[in-house]
Amino acid sequence: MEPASLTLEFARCTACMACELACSFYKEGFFAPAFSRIKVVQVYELGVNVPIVCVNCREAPCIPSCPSEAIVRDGPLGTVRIVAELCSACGECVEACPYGAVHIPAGREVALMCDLCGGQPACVPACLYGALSCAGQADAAYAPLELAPGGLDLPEKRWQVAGAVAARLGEAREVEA
Amino acid sequence: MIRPIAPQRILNVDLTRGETWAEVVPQEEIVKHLGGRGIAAKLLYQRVPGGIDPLGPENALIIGTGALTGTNAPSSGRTSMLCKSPATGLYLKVSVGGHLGAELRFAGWDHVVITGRSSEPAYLWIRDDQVEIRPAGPLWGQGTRAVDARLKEELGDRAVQTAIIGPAGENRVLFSAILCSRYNGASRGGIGAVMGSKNLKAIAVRGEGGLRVAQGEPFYRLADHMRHELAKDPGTESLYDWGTAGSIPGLNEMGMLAARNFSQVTLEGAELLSGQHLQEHEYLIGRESCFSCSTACHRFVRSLDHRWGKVLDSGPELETVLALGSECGIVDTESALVANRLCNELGMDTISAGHVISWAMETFERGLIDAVVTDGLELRFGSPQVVHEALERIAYRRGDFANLLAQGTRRAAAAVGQDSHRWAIEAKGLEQSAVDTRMAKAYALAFAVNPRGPDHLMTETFAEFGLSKEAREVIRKITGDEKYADPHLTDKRAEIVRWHEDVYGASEALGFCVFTSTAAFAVNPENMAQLMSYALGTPFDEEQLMLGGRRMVTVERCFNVREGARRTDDRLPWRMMNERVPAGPNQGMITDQPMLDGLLDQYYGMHGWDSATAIPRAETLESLGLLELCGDAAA
Repeated sequence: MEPASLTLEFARCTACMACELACSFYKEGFFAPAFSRIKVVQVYELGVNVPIVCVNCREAPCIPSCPSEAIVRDGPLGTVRIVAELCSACGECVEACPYGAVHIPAGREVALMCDLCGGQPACVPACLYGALSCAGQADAAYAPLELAPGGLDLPEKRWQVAGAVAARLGEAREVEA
Repeated sequence: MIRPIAPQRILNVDLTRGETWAEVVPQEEIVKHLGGRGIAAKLLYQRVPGGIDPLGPENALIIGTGALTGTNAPSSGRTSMLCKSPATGLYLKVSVGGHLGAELRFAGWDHVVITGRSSEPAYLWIRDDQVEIRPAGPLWGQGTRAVDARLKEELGDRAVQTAIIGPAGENRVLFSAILCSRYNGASRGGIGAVMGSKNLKAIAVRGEGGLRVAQGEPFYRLADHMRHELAKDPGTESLYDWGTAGSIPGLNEMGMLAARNFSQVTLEGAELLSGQHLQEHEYLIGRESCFSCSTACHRFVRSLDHRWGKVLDSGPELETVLALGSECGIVDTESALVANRLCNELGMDTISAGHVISWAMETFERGLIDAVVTDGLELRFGSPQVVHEALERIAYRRGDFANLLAQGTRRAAAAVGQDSHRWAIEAKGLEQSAVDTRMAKAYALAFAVNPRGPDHLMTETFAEFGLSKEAREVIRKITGDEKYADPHLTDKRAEIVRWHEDVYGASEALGFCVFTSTAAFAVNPENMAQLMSYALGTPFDEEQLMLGGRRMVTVERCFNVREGARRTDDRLPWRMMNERVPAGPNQGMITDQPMLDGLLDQYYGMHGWDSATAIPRAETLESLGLLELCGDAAA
């Protein structure tokens, strides 16, 4: 079965960060984008905003990267999740994820990744602009992109992923114009 | 660090000594002054003594984040920036959107108070509790976009939020701005010059903490409900579709479109400046939100034929296309995009820049100045290239004439003399925003008593037009009768202004965009107070909220009293009080001095201020619990 995933309509995202607030509130009980499993990167130069979130890759590189076998694909939706009790916060998955969708917030000893809230993601109803829905399939969002090379720090990796999406949208606009 | 909403934390920065230190604001102060603009106004009153040079080290640049900024409350990401204005010599509050305020709060800071002057160009780097004053030598002289990019590179994180001055702020242009989160201008009253006078080029912020409200579930649910209500409002939909410039066709039709330095109220072809035109012709390529906003009125645009230069940048607001477009007699979409980009890049207020140029155009066309005086600028209405050239010259103070315009309209008119003050669209030394106050009496009163000068950005009495059911209900709530939802009436205007002042102040103290509370009304005193109650975990009602707004307005008045401002300073530009609306449905209307005097008597009386001087009475201050803070200014 195809793994489920959030569907991302990049052109509709306005960078209001409501998804980050919903995510951190529902998962942690407070408002803190640093603890959100979804991260919106603003590509100011091109006026494009790119939500970065786990898209549940068919071949998920985070799973074999984990020395503690804390990352599993075990839900009915075919999604990937981190078993917090097994995670040692070693950071291998952060490096392995080609999109920058996994992170370890400061002061926390566990890696964070979207688990689709078990099928009803809190971020989807929080998005008033129609940028997020949960009808999608794995890999769809970032698939046509060149994967960012490994060894980048997380902000830079996210930036490169967002930049590639923005450039693709930008090119489409050039063609239109 | 995950913090509660109260107490709050102040970051103090003394640039002269190169020292920074933290300070706590206890919960009872937040209940009293609310946060944001409220706490910042109190700090400004306490820390900036009367009579100091606004461009000297004694002035303070204060950043106040909203008490609910950083939460999911709708459109709650706005930040107040305060100082003593170098344009007016009076109180200045500027409100800015974007993401700066939220980032500051996540970094663990609710307010920043910057005093002194760095000996060398510097920037402030706030990364959670680590605060550094860093050298900014190579950044000095550069435009705001380039500095934003370089800071993000130097700091290794593109999520850093910035506040930056351009060449105009460095050169202390009296209407220079601070550009925040790249797209958002904190622009009025010369706040950029104050930052420039401190040798402070930029502030960069990154925060990885968060905020915990006392009663999480009810807070989240109510805020979410308000967000959805707001999104359904027709005004909000229009702002999303077309931005603030979506009102151009309506203004033109109603004969309320400021054109050619307020000598006309309609302009042929003005629809070329509208948000509808930007959308239909695909100049518009993206919409941007401020933090936690459910409206997304900001535009991202491109030029199409690049007639005046290539643009791929944030789009112009309504006031920008009026000031730099219709007021200069220019109906040219491409020119508006370029002029907007220039102001953002150079760091200048588009409202004042447009109006000082439109004043110069009228002065030139009337023959009071010629091309010798203007260093070769043919300042005629309808000349895009002249506007673009003038903007550059002003920012760099290039040539004597541009140097004069950099002082603002009041000083320029004083220098040119003759009758040129009659078409200087300013009061208190601030250029009026492109809003005609002649046919709307609460607007006229609100503009006259505005502590920073005549504009719609301290109080806006939109409801007096009664354009929606909600607006008419607001008027009934204030006055007891919907019939007062009529902008031509003078009755009940003081009540209407005061209610809006309180709501506007409270909105800004909590971080709300005033579009949500005084244009749309989905954010109202009742639900704002309820959110505060859930956030603080203590009972907090509408009356306390409104009282917080009232205190703010009173502290602001006291600041100006201490600077010597009196009733005679509460005036409108000469043209607004002496020349009748020349055409259209409002032809012949005027708010003249006798009418304004009547409105002012009502207003001061209602506030408990002395009518002859406009100074708050001691008993008024006492009843607001402000005698200790502001007693030195009492009548």
